[in-house]
Amino acid sequence: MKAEAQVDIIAPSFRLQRKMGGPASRMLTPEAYRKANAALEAVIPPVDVEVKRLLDELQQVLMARAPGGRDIMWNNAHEIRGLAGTVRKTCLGQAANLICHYLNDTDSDFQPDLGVMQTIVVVAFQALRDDADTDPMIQVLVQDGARAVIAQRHREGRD
Amino acid sequence: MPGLNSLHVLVVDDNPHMRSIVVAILRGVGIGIVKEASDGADAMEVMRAGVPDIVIVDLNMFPIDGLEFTQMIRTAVDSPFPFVPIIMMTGHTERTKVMAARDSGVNELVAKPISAKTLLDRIVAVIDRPRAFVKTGSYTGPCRRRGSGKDYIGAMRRKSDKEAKAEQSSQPKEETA
Repeated sequence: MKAEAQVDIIAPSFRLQRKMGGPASRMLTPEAYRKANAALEAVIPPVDVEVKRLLDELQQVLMARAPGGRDIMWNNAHEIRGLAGTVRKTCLGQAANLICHYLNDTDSDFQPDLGVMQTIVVVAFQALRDDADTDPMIQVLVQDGARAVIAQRHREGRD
Repeated sequence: MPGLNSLHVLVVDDNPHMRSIVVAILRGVGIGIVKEASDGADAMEVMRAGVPDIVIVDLNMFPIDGLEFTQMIRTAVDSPFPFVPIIMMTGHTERTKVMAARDSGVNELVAKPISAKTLLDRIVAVIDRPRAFVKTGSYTGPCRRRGSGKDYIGAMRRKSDKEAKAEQSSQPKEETA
């Protein structure tokens, strides 16, 4: 007879509720959420330097066409997208999302189209500006980038 | 009443900006102790000095990423506390990444961009709706069967599954006219 793998199941622990003196949902009131949001607004850090570093690295890797470069570009684009969304830089988040979308479903050795990638990276650099989210030109650039990505994915047989 | 002030949370992220955002949310809501670590190795050191109540970890870190770090906490023989609730933050929301996070043993996943609400909702989930902890040869972490389990189509390997099945089959079937 085949021996069955042992499965240990440990009952859920309510240790944290006991420690806190009750359910967290009762303590995290709308007022607590408001305070957390206010604290977040107060601390939103200037991410421009970090985003610029990530974009510079992405661009260097793109030009170097080195093996494994796709993974660095993909990771950097995701980092930028996460940061941009959290600090509410909408256009920057959209530009980074275009890079993510273009590189999604590709292998580590994928060599992206230079023209398309450069177009989006330029948009991302432009979207770093403080007034980017109120500048209609940046939004047009993002839309152009989106069209370029859709067309390129189609050309590569991925959509 | 001790409340949120009694909680100890560890935030692990190699990006200092994201770390400062998460820390601000936690301190803003009144969590008593919020510690920071910049990578998995650093976090293990911090945890050895004092086990946190909740760990919030980024998926994408170097040299030890969030998945490896979670597996280390869950399975390492010298792990300070294998049962600690882990909330993973990620900008990668593809199905494969989400499943990898789940299979590494995280309790909750929060997608970037982070907001106060999404993060605090996950904290409420790990405190108010804790899940059973499962230890098998291939997986250690919170039970991955969420919800009612009615849609589960995998193998039913647990003793409780077999007992339930036996109970079901021993019950007399209702006669229909």
